[in-house]
Amino acid sequence: MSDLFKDNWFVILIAVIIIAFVGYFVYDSNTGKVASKKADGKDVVASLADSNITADALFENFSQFDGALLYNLYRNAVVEQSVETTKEMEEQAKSMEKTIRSNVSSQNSSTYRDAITQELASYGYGSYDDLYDYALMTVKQRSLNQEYVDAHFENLKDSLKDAKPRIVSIIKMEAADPQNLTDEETKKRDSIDKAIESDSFAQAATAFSDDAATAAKDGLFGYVDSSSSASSTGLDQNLLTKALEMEKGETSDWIEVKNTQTGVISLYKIHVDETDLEKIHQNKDEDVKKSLLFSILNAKAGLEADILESAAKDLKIEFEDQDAKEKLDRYIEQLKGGNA
Amino acid sequence: MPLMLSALLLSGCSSEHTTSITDANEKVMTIGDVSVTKGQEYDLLKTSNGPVQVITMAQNVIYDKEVPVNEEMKKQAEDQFKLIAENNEKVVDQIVNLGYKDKQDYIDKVLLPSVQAQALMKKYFVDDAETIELQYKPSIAQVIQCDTKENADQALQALKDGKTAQEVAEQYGLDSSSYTGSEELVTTNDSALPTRLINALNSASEAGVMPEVYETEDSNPAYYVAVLVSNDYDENVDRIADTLGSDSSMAKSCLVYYLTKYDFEVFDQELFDYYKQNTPEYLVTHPDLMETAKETD
Repeated sequence: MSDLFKDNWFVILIAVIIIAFVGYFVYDSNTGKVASKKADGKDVVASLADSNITADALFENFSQFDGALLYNLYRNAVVEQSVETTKEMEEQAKSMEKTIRSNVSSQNSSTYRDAITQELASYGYGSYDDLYDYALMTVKQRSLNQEYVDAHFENLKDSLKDAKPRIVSIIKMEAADPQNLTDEETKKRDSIDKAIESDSFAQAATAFSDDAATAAKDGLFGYVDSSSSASSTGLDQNLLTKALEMEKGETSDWIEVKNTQTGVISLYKIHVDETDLEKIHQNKDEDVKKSLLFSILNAKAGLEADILESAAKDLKIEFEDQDAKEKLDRYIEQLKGGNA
Repeated sequence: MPLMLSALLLSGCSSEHTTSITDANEKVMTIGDVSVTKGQEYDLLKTSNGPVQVITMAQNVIYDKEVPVNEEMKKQAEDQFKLIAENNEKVVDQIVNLGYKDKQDYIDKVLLPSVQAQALMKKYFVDDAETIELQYKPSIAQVIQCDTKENADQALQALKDGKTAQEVAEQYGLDSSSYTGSEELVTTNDSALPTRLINALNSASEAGVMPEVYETEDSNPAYYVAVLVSNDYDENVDRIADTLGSDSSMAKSCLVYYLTKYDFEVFDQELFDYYKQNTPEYLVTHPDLMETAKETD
């Protein structure tokens, strides 16, 4: 025997190395992989003590509270089949997907990615890779909502009659110390005041405003009403409050606004361009249209569900599970009551 | 070569295992061309709520083993519901809208487990006493903070001379301090106190005035004297549980203790991966992963 080892020691050494390599390879391939388990023919999700938590039991627990998920699945299917996808929608969806993915990357955290995956699942999308599908659905649903609101505006506009709806414009003037303007800053402020008086707020904004985004649109900031907030619009609360106090055509005095992120204080003027709801509705600016749509949907509880039901009339809908139908109906009723 | 092939086959066999329900192919609803099956719904619910729901179900198993429902618990849960109903007339409608069958379903699924959770937390302080004592070093003591070493020395002498802690605190203590000679539970959570004082109180062999002045090790030291009332864990366990039970990390420690006791094991790859990433301490049958969790805590 010892002669056998002596004569073949090199071959045996190689064999031992290969076996060790294979052993590690198998171990490494299986690390972090769970075993499967069944109890009474059912998949077991987890176990402890002498108890098994089966997939069936987990689903039973889940499904008692799945009204929101059923609604989201119903919504996804109705929107998908009711609105034709356009190139523009695809571009918007790609942009939305890119923004979310970029946020995920900047967080550099797989727990954040897990959180997005969980959120997507609650909206009816199975994985993080379905982010584009979700984005496209939201773009298409917005189009569906817009079409409905445009067609039924006469009936829906009353929901905003007490909300002080308006389109506003702004002019921003940067100053090192707004309390003690330099000669040059004073000169600029006077020029803006003069331009507003002699020309128009829009012309003054285009010529002088330090806010590039609104200056490029004649000073147009967008749509606001009494339900708007600083966080929902990005407009400072003092400016928002002033905008809601003024009549059409009025311009505010200079208002000091502190940037909440940088702490820098700037001077602003705000102008009410339009308060007539019909004219606001006819405005072609995309941001104005989106904000007005958002306000109408918020002002009328369950309107989005009504729009879906209206679109769903063109589709054949069948509930194989009557419990699911009851849960979905109950959830829609809640939405209409403003309780969901 | 045959060995290599075998290895590849073996690793190929260990594909990721995810769970499925029995009637996964059964349809729930069909909207136009789109059908939704129970299996799809299960997968989505498992992804969105599975990690929390599985732990909740595991907790219910633990409650039934450790603190089974008794008449007193039922009464407590009923009383809690009555209190909610007194302040909210529409509570039954609201819980039905949330998906509960009725009042009793809500009591059984929400209020009773909550009562059991409180009972389990109390029991945990007895069951895992050794770990808790080692980590929190609890003792009941009267602690006085002084602003100078001289005051602290005088305070210590006064205590030794038999003055009460309150009298000493009034004469030598720092007015703005929260340590003014009142009897209180001292633990490692008292981050303002010198570690040496916390350890000394916990390990002292008998009650009474602690023999020295204890000072913090920083550029602006604070000085403490103390009287130990008791460091008998068993004697003080209710007070320790009442104080530390609300500590957010304690709920997790309690859960991990009983998951370990009952060998909690996960058999679904998606859920396993989620726990591995987010709460590896729950994977109690994988000590290597639990260690990772301790390191990152």
